[in-house]
Amino acid sequence: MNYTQQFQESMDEFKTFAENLKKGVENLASSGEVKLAQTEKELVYEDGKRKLYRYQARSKKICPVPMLIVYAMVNRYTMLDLQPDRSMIRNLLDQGQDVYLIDWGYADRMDRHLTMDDLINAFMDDCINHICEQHQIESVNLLGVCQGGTFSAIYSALHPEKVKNLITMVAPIDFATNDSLLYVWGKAMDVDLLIDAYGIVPGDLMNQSFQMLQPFTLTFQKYLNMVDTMADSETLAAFLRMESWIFDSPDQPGEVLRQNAKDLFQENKLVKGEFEIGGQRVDLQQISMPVLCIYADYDTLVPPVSSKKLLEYVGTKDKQELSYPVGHVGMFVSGKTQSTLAPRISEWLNQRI
Amino acid sequence: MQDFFKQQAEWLKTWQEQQQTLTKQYAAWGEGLAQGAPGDFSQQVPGNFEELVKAQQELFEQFTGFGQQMQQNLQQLWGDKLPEELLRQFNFNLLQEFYKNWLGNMKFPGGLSNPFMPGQNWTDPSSFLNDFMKNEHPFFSTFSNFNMADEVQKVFGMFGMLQGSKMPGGDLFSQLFTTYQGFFNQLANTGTSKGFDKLLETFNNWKDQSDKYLLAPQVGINRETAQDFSKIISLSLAYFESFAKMGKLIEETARKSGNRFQAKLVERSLNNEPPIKFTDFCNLWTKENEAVFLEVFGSEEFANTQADFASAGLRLKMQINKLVEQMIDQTPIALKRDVDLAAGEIMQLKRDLRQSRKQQAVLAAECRIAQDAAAASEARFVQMEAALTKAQALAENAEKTTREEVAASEKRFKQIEAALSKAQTLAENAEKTAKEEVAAGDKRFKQMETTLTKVQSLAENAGKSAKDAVARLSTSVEAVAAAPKKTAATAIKKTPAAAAQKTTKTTAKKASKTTAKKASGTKKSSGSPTK
Repeated sequence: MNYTQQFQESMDEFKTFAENLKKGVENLASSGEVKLAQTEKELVYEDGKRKLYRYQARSKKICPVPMLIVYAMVNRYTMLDLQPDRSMIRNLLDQGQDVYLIDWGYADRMDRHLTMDDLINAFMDDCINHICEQHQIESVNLLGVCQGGTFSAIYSALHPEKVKNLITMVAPIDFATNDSLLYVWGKAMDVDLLIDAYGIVPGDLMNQSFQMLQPFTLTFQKYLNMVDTMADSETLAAFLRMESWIFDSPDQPGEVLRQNAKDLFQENKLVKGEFEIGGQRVDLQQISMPVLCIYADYDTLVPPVSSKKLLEYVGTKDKQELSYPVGHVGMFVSGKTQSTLAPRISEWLNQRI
Repeated sequence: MQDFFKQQAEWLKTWQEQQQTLTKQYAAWGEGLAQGAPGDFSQQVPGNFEELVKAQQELFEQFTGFGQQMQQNLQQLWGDKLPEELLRQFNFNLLQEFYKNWLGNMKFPGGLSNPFMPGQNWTDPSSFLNDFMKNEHPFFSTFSNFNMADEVQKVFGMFGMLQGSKMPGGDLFSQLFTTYQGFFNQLANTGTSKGFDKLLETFNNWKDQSDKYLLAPQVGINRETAQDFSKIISLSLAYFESFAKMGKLIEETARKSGNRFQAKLVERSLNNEPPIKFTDFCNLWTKENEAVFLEVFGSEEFANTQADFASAGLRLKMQINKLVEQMIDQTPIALKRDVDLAAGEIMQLKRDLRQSRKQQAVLAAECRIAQDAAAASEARFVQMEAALTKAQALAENAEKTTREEVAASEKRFKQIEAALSKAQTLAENAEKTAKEEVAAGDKRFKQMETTLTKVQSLAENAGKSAKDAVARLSTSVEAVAAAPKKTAATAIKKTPAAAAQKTTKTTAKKASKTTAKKASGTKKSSGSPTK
């Protein structure tokens, strides 16, 4: 290829780039408000900022045991219902699941002293009691996502009689590994100083750490690639939805983060059987119900080994793992999971109802 | 650099001399004050403290005007909400102005050596940093003047994706690349390495000097506050130092990743696979840079450097928080610690409330159970009452039956008793009869004995008689010798002797039988030794 050809190609590329940018800017101007989590739901229980929602059924045949989804506190649950055609919640509803979801809300300074005990033994327990009371049942199916999976495992160990089946998705359980940068950094950090200085740790600070996991991809390449796709309004809308979710990082209640970082990340107490909340020791052996552990093969936030180790510590013999060749977020929005994940979860549950 | 140290040594020497002079002046000034000596105190104020005192005087003057204005504002804002006594105590402006003056007066005697601009020594604690940023240290200026987050937001803010804002317009494409290229060029600039070394060196020297200065005796009514400010400066230095270390590590990594990118670029060109498209070029750039950075980010060194950097920043933040709280402590503005305390109490109250509700639910459940149990008890009570009545009736019947049975038993007993008495009588009679029979038997025995004796006697007599008769018969026989034997035999048979002999034999036989019978009868009787 001679220089003339190269120049011509470069000019063509630049022209395309400029056209895409122009069209993209027009799309942006007319894109309006970015909306997430549009699946219809009803507020059924609340305690201050923390809320319990029930999603409207989308199937005639409903599973007799409701499913409670517990998401992480470091980001918003809206990831599970990003857009109609990329919604794990919709997919579960289509499979006949009766879906409830905990929204932890946005913590503020008044949540400075909120503890894991308040979240797990109080609010989660209240939600499950509410569901059981409404349905006249003894136990629910629990599906915990990421940090919510850790919470769900802890809850299941402390209240096994209230959990019919436990599903953990990309949940950090064993923190001995250094396969994730977060685990390496978390171990060196002076957590007490961080919490004492901030009280409520800004979500942006947490978000910066996540960005540093792929510094060039997430701060440069992603936006450059966006120009190529922003000419298409649908793709642009999807991009904006994802961006909205990424930068929607709630502040973290200090005491929850302190225990999470010190007892779990730094001292790995959960799998050692030394973890305590509300004066109660958490023994994973007490998890006697069926367990399905779902993890992502290319997860850089929660390494697969950290998730699937759960199965080595639970007391039940009915345990199974399920993995997808995706990343942490890809588990919920990737095309690879959209069509099969919810059906496989439902099938597993239906065999155990 | 030697000049630098020489200058520091000279500065220290001067500083020490000044301190000695000042101490003497201060002592004299103090004595004058203690004696209540009249006169112009300002003329006697020690040199180094002169500025401080001046600042205090100025502060007071400023306070008069500024304070009045603030007082008016506060009255307008809080006058109807707070007691007058409290309003009079508002003096945060005092601290604010003092801080301003205090910083303004914190000059380095003789100035601090400026390694970047020889001859232009720094006299203000913050000026060296400004110079450093302004001049030949692009990497540092990148971080100080170029806020990456702001730039990203500026460039892409138009997309409305970060905060929902609309596009500001402008040449976005060129802006994107000039900012990013500039940033990364600066990052990869080998000159910055020297810059960081120099920065670190300067920080350390400045810190040493400042520590000495800050450790000088503090005076004045705001001594504690001054010390707190000093601590802020000290912590700031530590923060800058850790920031420089972090920056140096990033800069080294950036150089390494830049080299790797260039090497890959050359390699692909040599293989006749150069990135033709701009996007290919960027993809390669991202990929190669990120690989190097992630390797460093995963190292223990980076984790510790980052943690030290974060901790230094957090310590500084905490100290600033503390000072700010001290400054606004007298105002009606809620302090963070007040909010935290209130939040803690509210949280605990919520927990208590939840616990109470839980207990209430348990008690309510227990109450329901108790009510059910009471109702069940009542029903059981009624049942038991009926059962008791029935049982009583049965008991009465049973008693009656028992009485009858007892009476019957008594009657039977009496009958048995009578029968027994009768049987006893019969037995006694039988015994008497038996005794009598025994006695009779004895009597009969005796009689039989007597009879036997008689019989024996008779037998003996009969025998004697027979013998006599035989003798006589013999005699007769002899006499009748002649008589035929048959007649004789017959005659013998018919003789009394033969008859007697026959009788004797019969009697003896009978006696023998009687004796045997008697013996037998004795055994059956009372068993007395009759024999």
